[in-house]
Formats: sequence, C-alpha cells, structure tokens
Amino acid sequence: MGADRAAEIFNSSFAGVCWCILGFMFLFVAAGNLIRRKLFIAAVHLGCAAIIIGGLLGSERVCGWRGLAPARAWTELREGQTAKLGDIVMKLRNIRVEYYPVAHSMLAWKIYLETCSDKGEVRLTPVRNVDNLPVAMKGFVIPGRKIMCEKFDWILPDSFTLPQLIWPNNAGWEYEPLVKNRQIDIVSNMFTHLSATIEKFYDNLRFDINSNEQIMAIDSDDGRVNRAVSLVDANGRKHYVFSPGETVRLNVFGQDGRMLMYLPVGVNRGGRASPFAVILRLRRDGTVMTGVTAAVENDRQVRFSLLPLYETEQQWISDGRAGLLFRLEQPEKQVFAECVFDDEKFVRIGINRPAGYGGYDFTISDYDIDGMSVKIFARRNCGIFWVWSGFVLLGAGVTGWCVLKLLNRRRAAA
Amino acid sequence: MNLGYFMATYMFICLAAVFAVVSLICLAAKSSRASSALWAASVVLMVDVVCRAFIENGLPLRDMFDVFLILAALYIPAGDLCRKLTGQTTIFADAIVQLLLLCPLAFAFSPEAKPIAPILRSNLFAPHVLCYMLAYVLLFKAAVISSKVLRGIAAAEAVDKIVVLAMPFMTAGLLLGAVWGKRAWGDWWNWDPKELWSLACWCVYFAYLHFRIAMPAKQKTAIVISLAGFACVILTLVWVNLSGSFVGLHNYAG
Repeated sequence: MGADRAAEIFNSSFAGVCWCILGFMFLFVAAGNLIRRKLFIAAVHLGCAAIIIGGLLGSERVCGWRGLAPARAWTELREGQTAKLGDIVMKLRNIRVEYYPVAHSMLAWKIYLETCSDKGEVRLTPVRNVDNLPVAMKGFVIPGRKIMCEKFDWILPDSFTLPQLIWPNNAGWEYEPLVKNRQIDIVSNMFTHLSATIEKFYDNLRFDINSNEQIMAIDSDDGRVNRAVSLVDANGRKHYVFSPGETVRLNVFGQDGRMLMYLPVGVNRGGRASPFAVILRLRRDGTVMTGVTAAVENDRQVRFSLLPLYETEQQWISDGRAGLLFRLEQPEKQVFAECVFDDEKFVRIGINRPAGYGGYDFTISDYDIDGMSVKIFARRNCGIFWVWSGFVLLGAGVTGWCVLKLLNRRRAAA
Repeated sequence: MNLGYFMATYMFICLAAVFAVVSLICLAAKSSRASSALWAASVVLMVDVVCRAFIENGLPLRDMFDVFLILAALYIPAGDLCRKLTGQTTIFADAIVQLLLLCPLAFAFSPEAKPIAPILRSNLFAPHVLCYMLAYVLLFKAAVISSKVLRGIAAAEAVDKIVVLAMPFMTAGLLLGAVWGKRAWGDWWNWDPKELWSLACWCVYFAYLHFRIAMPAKQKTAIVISLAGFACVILTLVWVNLSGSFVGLHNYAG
C-alpha cells in the first residue's frame, strides 16, 4: 500500500531534481562540518550525499537497468524458457532445489491399499503394516475419485512430490493432476511399457530401461556408477533405475511404444530417504486409463507396484493391491536456477547467491517449486560504488557521533 | 508440531508473565524486589530463547513470535542500561510493557519452530535483525521516558541519551538490510513497505536529534517528534507485517 506510489514519485523527474538539490545540501553541510572539524557529522552528511549520488547514477535514467527483457520486470521463467536482456539471451536450463533433511516425523510411509475405485466410495481396510516403519494403518475411504486419509494427523501428507507433466506427444490423452494435498487420484494400469530415464540435463546421464537386470546409473562424465535403485513391478519385473539425489525423468510409453509423456521427478530430496510416489491419471475417449505408482525406499531395492487395479471401469482385479509410498514435502533450503547464455556461459543463481554476467547481477526473487519456475531479476547498477561508500561513511559517522556524544555527556555529568 | 516443545514454550511465557505480575505487586512494597522479579522474567525468556536456538539450530529470529520473544527478553536488560544512563526508574511501566510484549506471544503468534526460509539463510540475517531488535527495545524505553517528560517528571535529556544510544543500531540495521537486499533481491533499495517504514523511523528519530540540537528549549515539541518516531516503529514492527495492507518482500516475516 503506497510503496509503488512512493517509488513512482521518487523516480519522477521532479524528484530527481529534488534529490540533486538534497545531495548538494548534504555536501554543503558536510563541508561546513569539515571546516569546523566535526568529522563524524561531516561523515554522516557525506555518506547521505554519496548514497543519493549512487542512487541517481544507478537509476534507469542514467545508466542503471532493472528487470529482465522483454517484460522489463521480474520475469518468471520455466525450465527450458529463454529470456532476453538487451543483446544477451539467457536460457533457464534447470531448477535445482535443496531440501532440509527429513525429520523423523516426516519419514515416508509405505501404504498398501487393498483396493480402490474411482466409482463411489470404497473403504480400504485394513491396510497392512510395513515391517520397518512405525505405521499403524487405520484405513482410507475413497469419496468419488479421491483417496482421502481419515487420519490426517497420522499420515500428514501435506503434499507429495508433484511432478510437472510434460507431453511431447499427447496422442489425444488428457492429463489430470493427481497428487494434491491429501488427495490421490485413482491409479490403474493400462501401460504396457513403463520406463525411466535419468537425464541430468547437462551431463547426459542416461541409462537403458529395457534390461531385465538391475541397471545402474552411469555418469557419462566420469564413468562412475552412481547409487541406483531398481524397482520391481507386481510381476517381479524390474523397471526403474534412479540415481538418488538427482532430478530424474520418468518416461511413460503407450501401447504403441511411443512415449506419451515424461515427468521430472525429484528423488532423495531429504537426503535420508529417497522415496517418491508418482500417481497419474489419464483419460482418452472417455476412458480413465492409467495410473502409475513408484516407490523407492532409502537405497534398497523395494517393492514397486505397477498397478493392475482394474481392466475395465467396472471390473476389479482382486490382487490389485497398490503399494504407495507417500513422501511428505520437506521445506526447501535453497533454490538454484541454472542458466546458460548464448555464448554457452553457464551461471548458477541461488537465493542470496547472485550471479554476474555481462555487467548484470542476476538474482532469484521468487520461485514456485511445484510449477518449476523462478523469477529472475537482472540489475545493472553503475552507482553501487557510491552507495557502498556512502554506507561506510554513514555507518561510521553515526556510530562515532553517538559514541562521542554519550562519552561527552558522561564526562559533563562527572 | 512437537507438543512438548509447544508446552515448554508456553510454560516459559507464563512464568515470565507471572514474574511481571509479581513485580507489579511488589512495587508497592519494595522497588528492588519488583526490579528483581522483572529480571527473573527476562532471564526466563532468555532461557527460552537459548532453548529455541538449540532446537532450531540457530538464532530464533525467523518469525514474529521469535521477534517478540527476543524483544521481551531484551527489554529489561536494555531498560536497566537506560536506567543507569539516565537515572530514570520506570519499573511499573516496564512491567506493563513486558506484559504487553508477552501478550502477542501467548495469544497471537504460534511458537511452532519452522525451518528457516531460503531467503533468510544469509550471514547478514542475524546481525540485521538483532540490530533492529536492540534499537527497538531502546526506543520502547525512550517512549516510556517520553511519557514522563510530557508529564513533567523527567527531562528530555534522558530521551536524548537513549535515542543517541539506539541510533547506531538502527542505522546498522538499515544498512545491513540494504546490503542483504542487494544480495537477495538484486538491489539495495526495493521500495518495499518495510524498507520505507524503517527509513521513515530513521528519518523521524534523526529529525528529533536535529530538533534537539537546533531548539533545545522546546522539549515538548521534541518529545512529540520522538513519540511520532515510536509510532513509526510500531507501524514498521507490527502493522507492516500483519495488516495485510502492505504486500512486499518482507511478507515471510509475518
């Protein structure tokens, strides 16, 4: 309220003239105090003058620049998008998020569902306790198309990994977001082929997905085998390999072998456990088609359910038990935007960790992890030297003057 | 959240409030006992701050609960320093201010220990906030003594001393905030409501000091300026964060 108006007023031409006059007045007062050898007072006024000079030099009227073209404002960028900054072209290649370690109360829970449906309400009881997790399962209900937890305080799924779904070729499929707060859409399986690809976007970290053996992720840069986890589906087949700690791409193929979509999935966000759940719901021609879950627990090979929940809308498969591993969202610790410029110069911009290129400073001013977007702010400030000098003079002057004043009063009192 | 942690925090707050009330009761009999009770309240709150610091793995300065907790913990030691500096004893008012600072802790803000937001993970965060906290407790005290000056039972010089003591902290807070703003948001000045009101506080208190130097005889006018400065402090500290009218970069602090 009022801040934007204040900015408008103080950035106007008239205010610019006023700032100049004020700067001269500060200089005048500082000169007078210097002559009278009141050094601290002179420093305070010189500091104010320097800050005003720096502010004027850094303004867009002189040689400063704020924003990021073409919006000339804080520009929101998603992965793969490009922004222009004068002659500079910047592409956001990746967003990396560091999370706080998982607290004990936030450990993932693995939940075995006995059955589920997207038609009507089906009670899921009882749910089997998983060996090494202190979970006392209470049961679930599915109102409509959603599985809802009866005991929110027990499972606490504030949110799960909500991957951004990317469709290279949607082939007529419609996507509905599935993983929402405390809500899971129905899962089912119509996929014949499900695969995962690790793609570290810059290192070409990839691996095959069709082998029957456990596949290890091999970093193409150093040939080292990273930690990898294979997932076993309901038929005992291994399908997935992930390298914990990386953002991986989960590729989903349709029956015709074409890739339907891929999902960037964060793995091992907390450091201690590396579980995630991916739950999809697809529609085509009025048919609810497909859901997928995947579960990774710590570094061990774990159960995975490629869920054959039903074949048609009305027919249920009795052994279609889903193993869902809920991973609670951990608060983010740091967000990095990895960008490249047109000359292939790579910069990593973090919160509180600005990066410089071409005379500009780039900072992340806001971010949206679920939407995988960041707002990047570019600033060129020619007056920053004056501002820092002003800060030093002002800080030293105020401190010196106040200390001197207090000491003088003590002396006078004594 | 952890129930034990929650209960312990409220126990500390209640204990501090009891000590503040005890000091009010003791005031009629013996002022030294009242002062001791206030110190006890402050020590209890400091213990709470230390406990929170251990649990949260860093200085607890991340939301309004922490801010008020530290203000309440610092108020009595800062007040005692001011008493030594000015010779003004204000135990009754101190106890009331202490209780007022405890009220939002008990009724308005949640003591839940949240993980620190990425934007606050900076070396400049703790010094920036601590400088402001120190300046604000001193200015709280200055406002208390200002009321005595208006009633004619104290001289404006007492307020001068406290404001002079507070100004370096306020200036340091402002400048550290600008340096941090450059790193975090890309610019040292971002036209954020909290920034604007902080600058307004700084300007009003400097106006007060200029006025005192230029017209030392007009004490009451000067005191009105200092109280206006204190109103700006309240606006900056509470209203800008909590009213919802000011949408800005400091919103996480609410």
